Amino acid sequence: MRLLTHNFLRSNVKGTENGYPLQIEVAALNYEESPVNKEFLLNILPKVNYPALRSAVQQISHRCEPTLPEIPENLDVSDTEGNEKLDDATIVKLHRVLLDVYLVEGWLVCPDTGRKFPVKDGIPNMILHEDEI
Amino acid sequence: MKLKHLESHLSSLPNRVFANPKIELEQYPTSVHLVSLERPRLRPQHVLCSKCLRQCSKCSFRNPQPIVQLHHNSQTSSIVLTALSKHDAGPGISVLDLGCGVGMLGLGFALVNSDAVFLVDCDHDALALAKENVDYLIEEELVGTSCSGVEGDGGCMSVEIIAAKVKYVRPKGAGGGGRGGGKSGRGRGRSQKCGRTSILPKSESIVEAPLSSQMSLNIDDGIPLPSKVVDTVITNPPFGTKNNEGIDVQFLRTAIRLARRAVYSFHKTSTRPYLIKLLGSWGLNVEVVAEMKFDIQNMYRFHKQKVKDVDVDLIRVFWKVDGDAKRFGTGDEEKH
Repeated sequence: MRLLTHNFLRSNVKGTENGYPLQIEVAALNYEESPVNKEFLLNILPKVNYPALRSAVQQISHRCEPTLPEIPENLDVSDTEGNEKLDDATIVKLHRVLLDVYLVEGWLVCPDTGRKFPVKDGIPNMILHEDEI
Repeated sequence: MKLKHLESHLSSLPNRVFANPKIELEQYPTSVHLVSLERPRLRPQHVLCSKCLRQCSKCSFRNPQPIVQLHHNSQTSSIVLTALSKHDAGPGISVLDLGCGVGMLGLGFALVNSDAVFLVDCDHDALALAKENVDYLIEEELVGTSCSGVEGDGGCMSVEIIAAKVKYVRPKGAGGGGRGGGKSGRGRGRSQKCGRTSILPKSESIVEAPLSSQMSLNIDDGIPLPSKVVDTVITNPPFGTKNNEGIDVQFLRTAIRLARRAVYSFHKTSTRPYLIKLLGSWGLNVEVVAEMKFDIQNMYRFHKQKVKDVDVDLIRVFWKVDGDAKRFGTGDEEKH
């Protein structure tokens, strides 16, 4: 599971108010650098919740080998035109954190209820139990 | 992307059928039905009125609507290419396959260089097979960040798998308990038709409420993703014949919540009038883009007939979009 997917996922356990962003507990990470596709990145950036992405990077960075690049503390990515002005170094960093790091094993934890969703073999299991619906 | 190339990629996937199909999930190897080596018949067979979706003498001239009729060997590939021709697939478009099974449809969308594809299913066994399929395509550099696209020009960057389940709420008054799952099958056309048209609209008043009010109500539909998260949602839902009446509509509603641009969904042709009315009441546009027959093989013990043909529509639900395909837009700019 990439951080791109983590950025979209939310908990919807009964009793959850917001359920976002999910906290990450890492058991195994995989990091593979891949060629940067700027056009794709510019497409998805407006959809990305930046504070959630940055917090996710901070949670997993120390578990990653090599460590993930540091992304800017504050960045407004909601505006397509503004994103086109991003410098290449930032684009590369955003690509690395959104697409190149995979949570292979671990947990996603609902910030409201503490419900832990397991991630196994790179697949987050968000299926709720009967009594959680 | 040429049809034959798409077909050959799809036929080379390691897992094209369910290893151990589960009847409660209505897992049929649609992949087998939908993928074949024969060329599909993409020529429009007849012209239907886009309003009533029948051969209508009054308005067919004003509003003709070609429908693709696909027989037996109707194909994933031709469905994907239909979506491609309507700009609901391909570069710049993100896609979610709801109830993906082993992922044939979603991966078909990935192979025409859709930007990003999400595969969602509730069955871990099916998802394990889907993952093998994805890994194979990544290995072959047909999808993923290292691929340059099936025909150059940038490929599908990301195929991600999520285990999640569409919440099923049994409509009040549906079924009456003893529907005797033993005899019913996906091809239970006539009796199901009565159930669908008479029971559901009355009991499920929520279904016919305006879509805007439903959107706020139905975030908890079981799928842990925000509304309008992708451009196109493709879903081959259970048809709701296994003591789960109405699940097809609940899949459809979830699909509509998740899509910004269009929803492709398979439904029994017998439910067409009901669905048209329903989607109309939600203020959405709908067209039947293909008619096909699913030939349900005798694969579960209770199946009496050897092969049962079921008439199925592929419907496309869409919103009016200004200009070209929106690329991962913010989702706010398009109002329903």
